[in-house]
This record gives sequence, C-alpha cells and structure tokens, in this order.
Amino acid sequence: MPIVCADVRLVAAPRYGRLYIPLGTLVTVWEFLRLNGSRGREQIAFLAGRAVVDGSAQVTSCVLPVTSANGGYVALTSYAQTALILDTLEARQETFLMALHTHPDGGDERSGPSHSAIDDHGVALTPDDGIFSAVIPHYALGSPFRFPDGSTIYERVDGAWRRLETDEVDERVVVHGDTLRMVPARAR
Amino acid sequence: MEQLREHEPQPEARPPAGGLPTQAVHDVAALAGDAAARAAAIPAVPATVTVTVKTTGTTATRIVATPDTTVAEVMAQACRDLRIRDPERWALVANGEVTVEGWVLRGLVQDGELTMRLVKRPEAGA
Repeated sequence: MPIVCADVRLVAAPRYGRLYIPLGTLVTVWEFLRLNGSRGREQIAFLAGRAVVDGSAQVTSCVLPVTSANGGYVALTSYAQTALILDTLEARQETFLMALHTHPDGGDERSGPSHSAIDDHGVALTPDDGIFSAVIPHYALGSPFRFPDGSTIYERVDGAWRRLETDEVDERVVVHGDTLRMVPARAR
Repeated sequence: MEQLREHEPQPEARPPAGGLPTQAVHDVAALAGDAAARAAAIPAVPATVTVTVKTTGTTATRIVATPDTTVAEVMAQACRDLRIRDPERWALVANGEVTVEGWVLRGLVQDGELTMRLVKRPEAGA
C-alpha cells in the first residue's frame, strides 16, 4: 500500500454576487481576442482577481496565454503553462475568475453564442465552482464597449455551467471605467 | 613424542555461538559516542514522503506515501480527493515539468517533501 494517508483541504465554493471588471483590463483582453479573430481564429484568455468585502470579486489582472488555434478550436499549448499561470496568480494572491473565448458566429439570434461540449469541460483554468465563462461572438471583432451585452455569460455551479439570464448578467457583471473602485467602509 | 606434541598446531579461537567476539572496554561513553557517529554517517532513507497536490492556493490534498509510489497512484488519489470528474484530461506538474505516470516519487522528492499541481490544458471549440 504505497499511499499511507491523505488529508484534503477543500474550501467551500464562493458565489460572487458581482464581478467587477475594469474597462482597461477588458479592452486589453479584447484586443488579444480580436487579434486572432482578424486572422479567422478562435482565442481564449482569462481574468483574475480577488474577493472583496461585499461578497463580490474584483478583477485585477488578465492572463493572455500562448495558444494554438484555428477557426473552430483553441487550446493552451501545454499543461506546464497552466501550472505556471496558477503559480503566478497564487504568488500574487489572485484567483482565476473568468474565462473569455471567442466563437466564429453569433449563435442563435435570440440567445447568442452558447457553450459547446468542448467549452463545458475545457474553458476553465481550475475545477472550482463560482467562476464565470464568457463566450464572445464573431471572434471579438465587435466593440468591447458593448460587453457583456451581445456575449453569453455562464457561472459554474455544482460542477456544471449555468447560463445567466440577461437581467442577471446586467446585475452581476459590471464593467467600470474607474482606475480605482472604492468600496464603502460600512461594507466591512 | 613429547616434543612433537608441543608443536602441534592449535585450532584458532572461534567466536562464541551467536555473535562476534567482544572485548572488555573501560570507556563505555566513548564507545557509545563512536557508535552514534557511525550511525549518523549512514544516509537515512525516509520511509515516507509528503506530497502536496493542489489545484489552487486554497484547494489541495496532502498525501503521505512511500518513495516507490508511482505518479499514477498519486494522480488517482488526488483526483478522488479533489473531486476531479474527468481525470483523463488532467496532468500532474512537478518542478515545472509534466510528470509521467510510471515515474516514482523517489526520483522527484527532495528533503521528503514535494508540491505538485494538478492542471488541465484549457481548450474551447465552436
């Protein structure tokens, strides 16, 4: 019996009431996605940040990975790259919050682009619940200033992706133009 | 005859049954010290190693295993502990390198401790 014992440390999954995304960070990610889109290729990127005092999460950085992509598929180039990204985020006391990836089309006229089966098992950096996934239509060739409108947002709950309704997206995914977002002291 | 008997070879003294011959010593403390120093000079092989496998900074499992445990066995235990539902899509990375299932911990561990990260290669497709 080579394994003698194991001691697991699992933290209860967070549910972030809101995800605050600085516009500058979003535009940076969008340009990265769009660059591949202009060549007719999909792309994937990540937002990371920290939980804040009011039960929300604040995006503080973006991760633009090295990928291999074609018109209908994109993947990071190695497992070691994922480990390096997670090591770096941990050292910065940041956590993975959202994956964003592009699709070539706009999906159904009413519902927009949807997760594929590959997306369901593939887009996240970590297996945790509470994280978000955004599907950006038309290879991100549209404007980032419309986000999250026109994109589809999912939240992982109990290991499965749950699509957020439009009004819930408006409530919970907030793009802000402020360099510093002030949290009221009474929220502590 | 008398003279011959005097030159007959004597058999060598044999150690008493069950052990080597011992000699009387007067400085027991020095003897014990020498023995302790000789024992300390023999490199100790740890009986177990501790492997921390983590997915994030807050989600991890600490596995105590023998040095001959394979990466595949660590992987199976970690996926069970961390509730990974599709282990075939995941890999263990140690010291910045993707590990191979047949490797044993003895070749990876330094100082009896090892941290590994359980990761997948994110992908998306339309």
